[in-house]
Amino acid sequence: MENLERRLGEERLQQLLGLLDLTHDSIFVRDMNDVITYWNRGAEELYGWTKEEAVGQVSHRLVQTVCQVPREQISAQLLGTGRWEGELIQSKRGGTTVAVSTRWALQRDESGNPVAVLEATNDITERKHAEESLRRSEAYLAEAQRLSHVGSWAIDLATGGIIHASEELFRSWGLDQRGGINSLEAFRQLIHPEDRDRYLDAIQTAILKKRDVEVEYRVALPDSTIKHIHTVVNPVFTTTGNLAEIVGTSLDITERKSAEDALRDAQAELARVNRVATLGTLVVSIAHEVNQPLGAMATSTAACSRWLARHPPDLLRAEQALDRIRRDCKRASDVVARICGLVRRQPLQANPVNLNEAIHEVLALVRDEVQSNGVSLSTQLAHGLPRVRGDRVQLQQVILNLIVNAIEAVSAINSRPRELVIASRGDASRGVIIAVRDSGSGLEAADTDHLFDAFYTTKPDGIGMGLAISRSIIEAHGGGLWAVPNAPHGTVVQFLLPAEPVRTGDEAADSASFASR
Amino acid sequence: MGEEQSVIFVIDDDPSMRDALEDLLRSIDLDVRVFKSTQEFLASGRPDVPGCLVLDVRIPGQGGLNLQQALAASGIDLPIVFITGHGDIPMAVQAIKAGAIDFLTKPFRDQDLLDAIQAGVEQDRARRRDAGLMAELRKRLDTLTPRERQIMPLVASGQPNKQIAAELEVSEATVKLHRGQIMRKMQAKSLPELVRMADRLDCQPKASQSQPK
Repeated sequence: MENLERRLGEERLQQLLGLLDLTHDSIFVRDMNDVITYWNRGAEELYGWTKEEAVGQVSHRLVQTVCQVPREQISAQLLGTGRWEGELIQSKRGGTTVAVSTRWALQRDESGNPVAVLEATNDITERKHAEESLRRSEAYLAEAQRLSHVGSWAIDLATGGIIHASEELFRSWGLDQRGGINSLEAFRQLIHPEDRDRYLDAIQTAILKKRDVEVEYRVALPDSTIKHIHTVVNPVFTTTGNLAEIVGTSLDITERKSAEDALRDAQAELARVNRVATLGTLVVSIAHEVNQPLGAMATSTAACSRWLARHPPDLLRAEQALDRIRRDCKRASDVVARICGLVRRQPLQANPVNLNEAIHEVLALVRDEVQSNGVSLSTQLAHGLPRVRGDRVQLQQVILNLIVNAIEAVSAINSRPRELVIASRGDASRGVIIAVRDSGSGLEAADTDHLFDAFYTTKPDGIGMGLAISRSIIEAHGGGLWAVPNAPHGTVVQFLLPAEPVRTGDEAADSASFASR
Repeated sequence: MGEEQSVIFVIDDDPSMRDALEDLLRSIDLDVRVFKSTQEFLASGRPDVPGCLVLDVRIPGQGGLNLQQALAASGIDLPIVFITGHGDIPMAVQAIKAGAIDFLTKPFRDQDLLDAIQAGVEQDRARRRDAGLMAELRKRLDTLTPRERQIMPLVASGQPNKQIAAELEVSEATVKLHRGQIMRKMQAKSLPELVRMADRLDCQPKASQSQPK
């Protein structure tokens, strides 16, 4: 009877043990001397020792358990609660290490004495590698963000809460790590009031149009510094097409902005210096322009005195002389004002410009130069030119530069008439074209390629900046400057300025595209 | 004999300057004609009276200094006063060397201009007088007989009658006779005057008397 019970019990036990062999987990049992008494199939697969080889061995020697936590602590917990779980490093047969996650259970007899420990173990090496890779990736990402000053963020639209905000985001925004900024609203408060609407519009557009949107804005930091930020907003949708969250990058472009500003200032200064230098070469002509009205005034003054000294005084003629003086006085001061206007340091303007008028003013300055070089100058200025907007002084600088070059080109000619034509015409679809045509000897093929390069000049004492600066001025106005051969001799240098689009009364946006650049 | 009224010619492309100059010269009762270019001036008829030209150096068409040369080349002897909008020393030197009366920079003192114009007109009067006198002298010379023409330079060179007679193999009395005729026809009141006349006639490229040999 006992035998039967025992046999049934053993069969049952074998069945149970068979079940234990089915599980993937490694399960082995050791006694209180650490000797292995049971070793399942999972343990065979995990450690590489067969049941026959493992049973009877001291477990920690067989699998060379390495533990972060001191053994005494484990034992204490095991004896105290009957359980322990943690991560260990063990070795397989052959020496390969495995990282494992293990759960121990203490078996006590009827008297409560510990008799055995059951260890259920999983190989977590793969998981550990994956975790390590992930950690390394995150570290690289953080480093990349730090190097490129790009931060990243993600917002849960349902709650308005911040799911993710990278370290670099805080650093580039100049914020103490997380110090008090933990909601979308808190972030938005930092944005410059003038830019806030634009920022929110961009987010809205990203959401509505379901596409990436870029926006630049300023951030006002607690210590009052201003930073310029460039953000790309990307809406993220679930598979069902619902908006889950928005993610974005944030790039600190403060340095770039101040470099752009410095560059623009330097360009303006260079253009001004060029204007002054060009005017310097015309000093003789300018002196002449001013001395003409002054000379006439002096003579009229003398005439006036003499008319008054007659007996009787000729008051009519005296009055006429005074009228001439008044007129010449204005002429002289106009010339001076015009020159000062060209030399003054002033910010880029974006006003309507009457090009034909501007051309006439420049011609007045060079009249003397034209005549003294025996150049025959004619104009073909069209009426009703499309409206153009820009900086009058800079455009006059370009016109002056082209005319001075043309005068030089044509003054070298002796075998035929020295002719210069200034023409303006409208091209309704594209704008206004101003052309300066000379009858000089034309361009060499080699020069045409380099004509507009900085520091390129064919003149022995030239600096070579005139055409380079002229081209950059015209391009800043949204136009282009180029040269083609003239027929039968010489060169045509011309530029195109885009016409102002016809507005439907929205004057507020007028200066936006140009003056704010 | 009253002096002829002079005419002042002004060439300047600047309208204000033209008006002002015209007004100034009128205010001292000068007769003035204004032109805006050298072509206009050359195309105009010029009265045969003493004159002076006021000229802006930088004028369209022919530059002022070129005009000076062109006028000289075509035998027009008008004195020129240059006025200019800027002072250029090389240009001034060139102009003065070519015989200009003066070179003034705008704005100039009116008195300086008027003084220069007066000097120019005086120069022109003198030249015209001179030309008139030469014509007269040549006319007188034409009335001399060949023999008289032969003797005149000898008399003018201070040779005594005896020496002249010996050289020409005639009698002293004949020489004395001819001498008297010469003095009468040439209207020379004294020997020194005759000498001066002879000098002037000899200097003329148009002195065309061929010496009989």
